Amino acid sequence: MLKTIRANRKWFIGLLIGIVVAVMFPQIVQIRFVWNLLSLILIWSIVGMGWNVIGGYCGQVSNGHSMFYGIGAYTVALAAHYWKISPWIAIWIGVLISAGLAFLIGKPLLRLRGHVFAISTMAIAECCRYIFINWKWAGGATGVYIYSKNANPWLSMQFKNPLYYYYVFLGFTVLVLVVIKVLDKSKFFYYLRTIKGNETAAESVGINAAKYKIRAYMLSAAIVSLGGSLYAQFLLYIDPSTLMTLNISMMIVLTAVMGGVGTVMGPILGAIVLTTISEYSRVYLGKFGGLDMILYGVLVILIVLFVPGGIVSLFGKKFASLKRKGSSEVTGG
Amino acid sequence: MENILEIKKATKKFVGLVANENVTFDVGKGEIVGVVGPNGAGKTTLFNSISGAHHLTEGTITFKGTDITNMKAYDICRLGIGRTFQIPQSLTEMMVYENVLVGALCKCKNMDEAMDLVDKTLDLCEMKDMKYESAGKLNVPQKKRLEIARAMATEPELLLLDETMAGLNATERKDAVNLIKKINSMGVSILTIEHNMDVVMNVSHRVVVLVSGKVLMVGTPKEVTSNQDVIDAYLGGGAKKNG
Amino acid sequence: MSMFMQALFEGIINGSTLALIAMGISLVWGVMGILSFSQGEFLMIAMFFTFYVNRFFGLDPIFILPFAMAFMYVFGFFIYKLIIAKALKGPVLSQRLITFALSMVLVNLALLIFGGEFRTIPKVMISGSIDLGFMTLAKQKIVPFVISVCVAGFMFWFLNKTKTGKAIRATSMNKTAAGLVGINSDKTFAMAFGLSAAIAGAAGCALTYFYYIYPNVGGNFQLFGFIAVVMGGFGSIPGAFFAGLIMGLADAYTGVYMNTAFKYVGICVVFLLIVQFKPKGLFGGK
Repeated sequence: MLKTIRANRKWFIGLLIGIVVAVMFPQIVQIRFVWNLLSLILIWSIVGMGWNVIGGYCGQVSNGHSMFYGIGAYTVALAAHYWKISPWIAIWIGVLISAGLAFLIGKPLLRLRGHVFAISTMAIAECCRYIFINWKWAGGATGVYIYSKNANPWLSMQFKNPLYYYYVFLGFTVLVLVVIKVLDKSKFFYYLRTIKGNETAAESVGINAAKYKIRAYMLSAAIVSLGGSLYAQFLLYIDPSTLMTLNISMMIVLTAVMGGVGTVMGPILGAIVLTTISEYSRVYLGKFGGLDMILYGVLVILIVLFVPGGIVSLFGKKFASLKRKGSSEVTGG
Repeated sequence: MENILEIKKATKKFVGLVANENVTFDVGKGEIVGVVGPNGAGKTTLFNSISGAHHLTEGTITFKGTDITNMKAYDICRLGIGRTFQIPQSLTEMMVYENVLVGALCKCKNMDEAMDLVDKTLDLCEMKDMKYESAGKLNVPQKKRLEIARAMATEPELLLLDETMAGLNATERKDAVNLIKKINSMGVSILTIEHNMDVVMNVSHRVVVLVSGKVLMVGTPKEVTSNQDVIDAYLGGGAKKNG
Repeated sequence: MSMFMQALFEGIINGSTLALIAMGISLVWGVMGILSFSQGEFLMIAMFFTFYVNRFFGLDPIFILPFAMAFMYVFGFFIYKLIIAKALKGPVLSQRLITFALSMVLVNLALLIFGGEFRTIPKVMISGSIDLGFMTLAKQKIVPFVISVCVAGFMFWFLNKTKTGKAIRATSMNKTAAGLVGINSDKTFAMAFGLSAAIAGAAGCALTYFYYIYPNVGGNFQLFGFIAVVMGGFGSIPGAFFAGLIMGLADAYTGVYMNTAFKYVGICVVFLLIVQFKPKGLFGGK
């Protein structure tokens, strides 16, 4: 791991600068709305990066990741509600549950490809949503309130000041980002890219495609679950109809794809652009019944048509030369 | 000479079609064996059975003494069989060296070792100057060399080449033949599907003729090209010169 | 017994709408490889079209049908040329996202323009019911079924017997080869897309006979439509049609015999099992 850091010196220095900027920014722009927006951006960054593992790097486009998002959210909510378990622990329980579920359904599911795979993930996610709507113990259609008046803010991650949320989320985002960056040039991700390119060719060079696809699915489920847990803590109230819908699944996909599929920074860029647009239009245009979603949809259409490589490709040339320098450092190092 | 590959009574049936029937022949260690035959003779199907892309309906395939008839493709690769595909399956979104890297990662224990092997393999296939090129930008002969490089990076003992010469001009063919001979001189046995009879004559120690899924004859290039049955079934009148 | 028959009836009625949606999805999938998320919205638009034509001209939906189909065909054609055509040149992933974004825009546009309240057609020509003793057949519900069968029949005839239809099928099988024999693939794609919109339009118009009209109505059919297409087998349009009917029946039967919650789960489980053991669908693939 240290070697990767040394080899990608430039990137990690960039990361540190980015962290400093991210920390300073809300101190300079002291607007509550912006602070909330930033927290949302971080959550979507995490979720987008998670999906990217299976959908972007490995090319298996799942349209059902809202399921893992919801499981992450429900785990922290129910753990707090029934057993007063702190979210700092419950988050990881959620991660384990999601990864475990991914393992169980991954085996049969990942034998499917393309559109059939996508539709199957949608069906499973919808199933899950229906189960939660009808599951009284888990709150049913009314959902679960996490908010409790006398809770210790740090132990139960319930902050009055939105800035605290932001800094906690920032920590998690950096964690996920570093994990992805380290994996980016690893054997694991190279194998995923090969599977994406051509599964038969991948097998001919010794790659057990099924094994790696499941691992990628599990990792992506775990990361998306983390995002869902954070979201639950942020909103302090969850219900199946906001969390586990097809819309959410597709927005997760959009974040990664609009930003740049299969890249490290893509989902973050996608999250920044899409979340900012959707939040601002929700606030300013929401009263015109649906105008904000129209704007979102039109924006997506425009990006798909005119920037097919994702927002990351706008920084294309600059990235390509950085990539070359990066790779010569890998060979030399 | 001991055999590295033994195919016994290999039969592959699809719904409504028998692609290979009772195919039997061996590849000796260090040999180059050519597989020839008209289109649809079942050559690539046979390769797919050997490499594990699909499995035989009947018969056995033994590699280095191990029965690989029903082994998974990735396990077969790890045992030591590498292959190229008729239409090069380059990973176009990655650079040339990354394409070779995924092959190298098969047997190497860490990234450093793999990158060394990548450099050695690129050297062997004379692609060192294209190391950082995007694989998508390569032309056909370069893609074919990349196919071979990727397969060689898995350090195979038997290399399956599927119509390497197709679409190459005379100079490119000469380079390809040199590469094949170089690889063979490293101790790698080669089984190659080829339409170009000149190349087959030049390169192979022995030739297997497949017609309609069955083995018509196995022999040296000279024996095969002077055999009347083979001439009737495959070589015909003018097919000998071109390919 | 009567519950069984009633469910059979309900199931076939429901299924007939799904069948049309599934056919449209299958057509677009087969011809240009795109997963169309907008079929439900084409249905919805046709429903609103029917509603307003009925309101201003007093025509019964049965008579509005040809206009609704024509309108949707043009609409679909136009959408293809404007948006889809360019997307096809890009990565596959983006194509799917574009139809999803399109559906988002259409739903919310409808919400904006028409508002969210539920509407119905006030008076339809054929109403009342047939009492068979062991079950009652609402005549209003028979109409969509009949329309669905007619439209499906028309589609089969069109795709198999007419020159344009054959061109569409040829392009779906092999675009390059079709191009070589002079078939303009771009135009064919546009026609296919328009056709799929027209089919959804027919379903929508027919549905106004007894269903509520509101912007989100498409969502009720979209997922089941997808499932039907996969079950029916990719590339098989009749397969999609019959799978749609089967889905409708499954929906009705699980609704009668199982808890509503498990109904959905049950259908999905059946679907996933089918997909595992017959990945090419019940009626075979391409």
